[in-house]
Amino acid sequence: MSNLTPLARLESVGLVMDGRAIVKTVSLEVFPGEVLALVGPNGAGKSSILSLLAGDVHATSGTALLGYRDVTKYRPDEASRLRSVLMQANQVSFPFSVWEIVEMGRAPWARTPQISEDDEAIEEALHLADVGHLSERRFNQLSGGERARVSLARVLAQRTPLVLLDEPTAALDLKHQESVMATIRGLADQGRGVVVVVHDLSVAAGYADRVAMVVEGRLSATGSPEEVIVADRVSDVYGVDVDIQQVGHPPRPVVLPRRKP
Amino acid sequence: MSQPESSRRRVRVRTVILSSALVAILIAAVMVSAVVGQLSISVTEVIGALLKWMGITTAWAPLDPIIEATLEVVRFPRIVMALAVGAALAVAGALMQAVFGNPLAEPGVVGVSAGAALGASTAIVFGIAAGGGGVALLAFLGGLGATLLVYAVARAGGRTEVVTLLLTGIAINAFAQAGLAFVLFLADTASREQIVFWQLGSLAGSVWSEVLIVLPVLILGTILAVLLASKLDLLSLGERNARHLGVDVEQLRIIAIVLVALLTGVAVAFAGIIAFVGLVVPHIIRMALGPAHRGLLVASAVGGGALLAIADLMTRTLVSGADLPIGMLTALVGGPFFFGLLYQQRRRSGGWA
Repeated sequence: MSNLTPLARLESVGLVMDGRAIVKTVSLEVFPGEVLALVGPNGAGKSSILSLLAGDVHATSGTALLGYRDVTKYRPDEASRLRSVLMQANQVSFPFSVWEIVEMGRAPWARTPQISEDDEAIEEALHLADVGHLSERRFNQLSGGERARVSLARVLAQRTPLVLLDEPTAALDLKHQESVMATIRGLADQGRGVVVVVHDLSVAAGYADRVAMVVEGRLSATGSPEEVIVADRVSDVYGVDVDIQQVGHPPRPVVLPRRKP
Repeated sequence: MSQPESSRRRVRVRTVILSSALVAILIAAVMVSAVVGQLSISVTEVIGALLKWMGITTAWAPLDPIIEATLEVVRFPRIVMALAVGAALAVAGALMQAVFGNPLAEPGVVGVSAGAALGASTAIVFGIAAGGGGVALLAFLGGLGATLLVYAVARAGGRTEVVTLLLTGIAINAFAQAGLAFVLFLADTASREQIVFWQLGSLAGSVWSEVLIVLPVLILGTILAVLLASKLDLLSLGERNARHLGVDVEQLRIIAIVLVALLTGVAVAFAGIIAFVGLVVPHIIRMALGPAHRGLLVASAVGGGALLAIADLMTRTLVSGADLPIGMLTALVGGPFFFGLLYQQRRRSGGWA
């Protein structure tokens, strides 16, 4: 994929917050058409890497590029047409309806020709996140999993080339976990670049083109799921003995913790 | 799955019903206020006088010059002032709630009104004229200072927790009251009376020259606020999400805070502390119309005006021959309302979230 221009790139990026190095010399590229999964233990710095890519925080060292420019140099409205972000926790201060929330995802395209896609984009996003039946409900009245899907629909409606998702499947049941991951796969197949933080290694392996293992603020490994998700590395990083089996067509690694009888 | 056209239509119908109801209440309040008083004036005389000022002479125009003068010099400036101050406070409340991401934020509750009153009374006691607008200017600065202080202290991660907000309000109110007490101590008897008036709030003695300062600020402030409406909607997703959707959050916050201080400052400068209007009105509108800010801000302006016109009418008529302080009246109604809101929020979040 290296013949393509990356949508976003971290060049030896470091991030220090409150005197603590959270991200250490991370280099990473996100290409159009790929799903890049960020995996790793809690507190390893996955969300911080996503924030750096999104331009929410300034890199302490190195540069974070969106296209060819430093991501923090964009005007907010320019950046909002290039990348969309799903954060882990999503609250809404006032009782907006689900439709209104998803419609907010179209805000970046106001006063652009793409405004004509608004209704279609909202419809599609509601459908993909399976929240169409909730469209008239108030966001504040929904369950955790439903809120997560509505927030995802808002991000999908934004229709940006780069999509950054922080644990989109965390609160979801099995069916919605699979449908959301399939949707993410579909985005990449349309030519968009997706970076997704996932905890379930088997889910990451099942849907990602590349997996980046984040450990203590560094990328300990980046590559195809088969290269990165291997028993020794997983056992070492997580401190849990695991078996790895190759399942499905084409075969993808599935991680099974060894449990005491 | 289809676009919820039905729900959009429902919202539109509701908007029409609510706006007509608000306008009807507003007109009724204005008419009754113009008619009722020590000198009783008939409805036809009021309409006749209004038409006459518009250049249309009808048979209804009041024959007695005292009636015309009463309407022109006493009642109408007071009515328009009530409308303008109510609208300004309600819009300021709605804006503040948007910026703080909290439906309990209100200029009176969090101490912005007290800050403005401190500014205004300082101007009175020390005779700061500044070309006639000294009171208004210092009220604005006092309100701005208080807003910035609440903002700096009470917010964390783009949201304000109820407890933090209220505690900050207590602290700022306490400080402003101490300042007011000190200014009161320094003041001579005449200024002292004026300051007491500020603390209680009153629309008595409103004159056109004051109305003409409040009105432009109200109109400008409301127009600017409505222009920000869609960005304020995005802000309810939280600051980071709003930024991801293209909002320049810093800029938006600064403009909104200056608008809050401007609207509250100008209202307090000429009418004193009138609390809870900015809390009650947007809350009711939000329940009726939903939280989208465009409709909310416009309807709050109309509703706030109507509410204060009615409240002012009550202050003039509840006790015959006496003018009750209007701030006392709004607090009497707003206090229990606030209590109810707090209770509701607490139940919903299962604690002081």
